[in-house]
Amino acid sequence: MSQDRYTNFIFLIVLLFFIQVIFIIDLQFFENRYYKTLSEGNSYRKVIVPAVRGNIISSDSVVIATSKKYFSLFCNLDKFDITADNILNISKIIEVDPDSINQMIGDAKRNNEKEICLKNNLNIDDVTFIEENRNHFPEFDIRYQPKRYYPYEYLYSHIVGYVGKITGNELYELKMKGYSISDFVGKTGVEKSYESFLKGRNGIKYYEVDVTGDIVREVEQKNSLKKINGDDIFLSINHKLQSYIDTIFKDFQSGTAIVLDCKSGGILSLYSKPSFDPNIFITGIRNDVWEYLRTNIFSPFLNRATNGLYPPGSVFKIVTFLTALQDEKADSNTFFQPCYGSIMISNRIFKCWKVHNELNLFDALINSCDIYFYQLGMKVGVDAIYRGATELGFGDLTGVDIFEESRGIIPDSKFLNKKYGKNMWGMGQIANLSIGQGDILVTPIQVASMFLIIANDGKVIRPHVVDSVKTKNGEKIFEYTKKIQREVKFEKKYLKLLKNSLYNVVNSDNGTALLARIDKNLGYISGKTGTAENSSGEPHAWFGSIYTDKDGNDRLVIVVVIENGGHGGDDPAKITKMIVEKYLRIKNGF
Amino acid sequence: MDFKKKLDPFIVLPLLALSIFGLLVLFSVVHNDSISIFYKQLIWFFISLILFVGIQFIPIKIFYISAYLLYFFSISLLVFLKVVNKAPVERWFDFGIAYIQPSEFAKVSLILTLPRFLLSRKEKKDSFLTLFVSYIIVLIPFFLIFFQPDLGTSILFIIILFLILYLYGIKFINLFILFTPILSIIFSFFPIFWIFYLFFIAFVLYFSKVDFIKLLKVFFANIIFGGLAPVVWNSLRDYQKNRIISYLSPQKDIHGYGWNLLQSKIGIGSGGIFGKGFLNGTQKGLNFVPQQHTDFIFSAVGEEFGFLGYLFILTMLSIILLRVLYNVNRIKSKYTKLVVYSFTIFIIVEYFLNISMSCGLIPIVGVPLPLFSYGGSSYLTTFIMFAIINRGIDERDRYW
Repeated sequence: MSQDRYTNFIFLIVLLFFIQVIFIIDLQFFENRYYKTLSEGNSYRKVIVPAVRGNIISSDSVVIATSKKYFSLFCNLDKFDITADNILNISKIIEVDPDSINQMIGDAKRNNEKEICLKNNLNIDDVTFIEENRNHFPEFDIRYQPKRYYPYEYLYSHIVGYVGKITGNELYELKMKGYSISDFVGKTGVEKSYESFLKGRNGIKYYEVDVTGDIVREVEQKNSLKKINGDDIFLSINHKLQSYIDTIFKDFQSGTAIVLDCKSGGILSLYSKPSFDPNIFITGIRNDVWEYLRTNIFSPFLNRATNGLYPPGSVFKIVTFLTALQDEKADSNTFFQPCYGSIMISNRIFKCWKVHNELNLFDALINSCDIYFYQLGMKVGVDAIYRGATELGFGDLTGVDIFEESRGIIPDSKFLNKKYGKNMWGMGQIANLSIGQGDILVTPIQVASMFLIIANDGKVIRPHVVDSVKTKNGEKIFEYTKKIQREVKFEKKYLKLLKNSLYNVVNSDNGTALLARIDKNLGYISGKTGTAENSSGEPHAWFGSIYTDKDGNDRLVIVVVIENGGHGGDDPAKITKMIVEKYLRIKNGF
Repeated sequence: MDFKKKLDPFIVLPLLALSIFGLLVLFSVVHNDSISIFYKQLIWFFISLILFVGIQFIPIKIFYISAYLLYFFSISLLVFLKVVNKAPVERWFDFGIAYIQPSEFAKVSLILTLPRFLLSRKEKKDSFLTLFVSYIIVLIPFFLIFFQPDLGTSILFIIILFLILYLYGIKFINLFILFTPILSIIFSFFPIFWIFYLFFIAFVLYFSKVDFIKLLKVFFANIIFGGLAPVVWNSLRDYQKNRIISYLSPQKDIHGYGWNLLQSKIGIGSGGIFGKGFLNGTQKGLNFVPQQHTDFIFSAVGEEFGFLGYLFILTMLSIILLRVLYNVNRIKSKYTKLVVYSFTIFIIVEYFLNISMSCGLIPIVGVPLPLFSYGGSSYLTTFIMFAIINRGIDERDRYW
């Protein structure tokens, strides 16, 4: 019998247990924290209770953005084995692109989040399937949660904007405010600019769960947090008017219309066509739909009212007109070479749209004579026109509370020097500028803002869409108060003269916007047409106008742009008339 | 004769300490939803105590004499179980009030039988016949249990074989030869490795100056085992395959055995140094570890008593082992000596396997944690083995 084998065996036993001790030490000492969190996550589940986003309501009390309950599928990353196979499997079950799942997991990990929302609008079949196979999906949790819903789909997407899934970068910024990875944030429009009101604050609840992940009961913890729902936002928008404009635009491919209240600067209607259904960002957008929308040549995501850049065409003659008067370069007795249909400037032929013969300053504006304004502009000078334009708000943001806005371009001599080189440009550029062509680009909201200034006798008022914000208890926490930003330097008498001429554009028999003439008992419209030549085909048709009621009070500013719509005196003028008539019908209770 | 003197305090006190600790842990695991399990185990504890005392009055020679009979009896039980039971997993006899697991008693009878056979072949201990018959003695219960199916227990039989052969003093080269077919089974799943492995065996045997005939035999055995293994694998139950597969990637199948392992590791890992305290474990109360009262009870030890709880078990086992080691050389009877030492090592190996599997060090094989896991048969056999250890040490001066 080999005695030493007995003792030798001890070494084997000691060696084995030595390995085991190291293993256990690793588990209990070094990985203790990891397993501790796992064990807590096992029996307690932290659930973020999303705050219900505030409603957005029109001035005639129509809810244009609200919340609707959807079945949302959450995935607990602690319980989910992240492999390509598993992700592919899940993506097949719930029909979500595996790349976007990967993206979500990456964002969650970077932000130290435990849970992601895989899908926001689970249909009832998926819900049934997952619930029936609960054992196979311990990482899943289905919650019936309110999500953003836009009942009028495309109608308000350029005002209200849309909410979309929070991105990793946004979450990094907003984490301190209690946002979670499955939250939605406003991406454009009012949703974005009033995010802090609309969002509210997420609540945090803790649940005790059993082995299958089913909730046993709610438990109070020191980190529990009650949710605070978002505040409601009340817009100056009139739903009836907005939907009416939508029906008018049925006949047009693309364009925009803005209706402002003269007194307050509140936007009654802001319409931009084509548009999109913002609900797709909540329910999940199919790749092909997204590609279609993104690459569509009519750019449905472009808010033409605030971001659309157009040459203003003859509408810009207002600026040249006012600047000439203010700089005393012209008055009612100023005459230039008569309009024979064309004129030679810097060895180039510049045309007019009609033969006007001899006109004075006012008649030139009423008839929109290009020949007159070429010569007037050259007399006034490019930098003076620039000053006049910026005084009226061009080349700058109007400050409208819809998040996106473009500045546009107003050229001055510096700009032209830079673009063409010193002394490489000349009278041709100035002549073009004075009729709103060439290197100039403006947004419709800037034009609307200009008419607002004219209507308010030189006072600058910020156009806005949000009237007030109320908490869910009805407490008003924000209200728009009319504030005169500044006054333009144009003398009142010149503005009067301008208004008079604008009245005649519509109401005198040789005006260019006769189609905008309304029944005298209703008041009158005064405005300026524009036919902006551009590279995309037919000229863009403009009509900017002010509606004055029968008592002589300016009521509305209306700007209509029809892309490639031809002459501004045709469709835009007609549309303006229809809008005013509808406005009056609405006012009278129809 | 003074009965007190018959009890070795260094065996009995650690045994009692482990039993009581085991009962406490089991109570903690089941007290919320199935307390009856604890009461049943408590009854088994008292039955075991009585049996322990009773065995102190039975000389080891009686076991020696009846070893073959016990072996035959336990094999019959296993066969009988095979015939009687039609259930897919046929490990137990249902006696109405309790289940009896014959494989547990087969372990004891094997450790009593194999030494007797080996000692009877003193002169030709390294002969082919000795090794072959040893193999047969073990393989009969092995296959009966393997096809119950109970992978864990059947593996224990292989361990018993090598443990006893080694302690008995079989030459290393013969142990190696015996062991090669088992490795062949593993390697046969990777045919290229298997061929290399066969070359390796030939190489080792050639330099050990083993004669050519023997070399051929070894080779032949290896080819048979290696060739049959895939066939046997395909006859395995799905859950057995899963157990093996789940070891390779426990995270993958979170609801099968991988789930158990992960939850068990969470339990052990979250316990830390001092544990969460008695009855404070969160893993068990909510049924996170479905088999926590049986195979995975160590996760409750780790969670509630932490590293200290583990150290306590190790300390108790060390005391027993050192006490046995101290006394075993004084045992005059070779049979008693071999049996006592084998039982001791075997119990410790069971502890090692169960704890290792609970923390993911080795694949999950269904080996219970002696004196902790719920189950009467296992409890009883552990006490029987301790009783024989104690009796063997007590009669160390007796020569027969």
